[in-house]
Amino acid sequence: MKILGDLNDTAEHEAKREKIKLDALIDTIKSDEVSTTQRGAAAEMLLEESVTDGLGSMQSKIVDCGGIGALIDMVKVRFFGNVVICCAFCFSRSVMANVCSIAAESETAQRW
Amino acid sequence: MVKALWAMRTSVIGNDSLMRELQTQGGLLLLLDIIGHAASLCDDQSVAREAQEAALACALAALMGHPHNCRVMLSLGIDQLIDLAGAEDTPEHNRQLIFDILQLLGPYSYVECSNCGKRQPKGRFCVQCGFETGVELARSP
Repeated sequence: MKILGDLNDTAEHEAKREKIKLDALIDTIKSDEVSTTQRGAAAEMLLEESVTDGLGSMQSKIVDCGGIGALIDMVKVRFFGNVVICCAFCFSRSVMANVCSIAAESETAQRW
Repeated sequence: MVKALWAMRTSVIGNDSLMRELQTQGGLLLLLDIIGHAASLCDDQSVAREAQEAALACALAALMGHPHNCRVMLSLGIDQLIDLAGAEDTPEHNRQLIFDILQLLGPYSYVECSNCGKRQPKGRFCVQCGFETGVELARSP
């Protein structure tokens, strides 16, 4: 808190603030206690905040915290809402509209 | 939501492990769903077009330089992509993105023998059973 309230701001303070912010976003993405939308929004913010570090650095942060899963989940919820489809082949429940992800994945695994 | 799709596209571009993760978490199927059903899922058609464009751009990024994802996309979405490329109501920019995706999938296409199911990259006869693998064109009624 002392760092955040310091009037004599320096580049070091700025870097520390950025680090705290990024850590908080990463914790949010990793957390099971927040909603899908919050995790997705945190992943979006993480991308925006770390874009100045370069694409490689940003992507390694996303890999480390599972940010891509958070984004996928958020898009699913936004697009399909709470509609749940039950697969007639393997009975898996999914929010997907036309193809069961589990059946499709197992078919893919067999073929390739 | 469109923003999240662009974020996904930025995340995966040129990164093998994120491309793989996108596929294993059902991301390619999700993108195909959005590409095919954006118009019916969004009330605002301009948002639907933007969502379709973002999903196509994300799919393109997830396929570039990733043979496994290309094969998965080929087995799951080739019919849908070809239909969309030929549809009159597909926006021109989105159609161009679909063409780019189809070009990426081209080297991984195959001919499947209708007799034994063997897949091969090309050829008029099946290398396994010798059955003719020519494309069956629609017959007039």
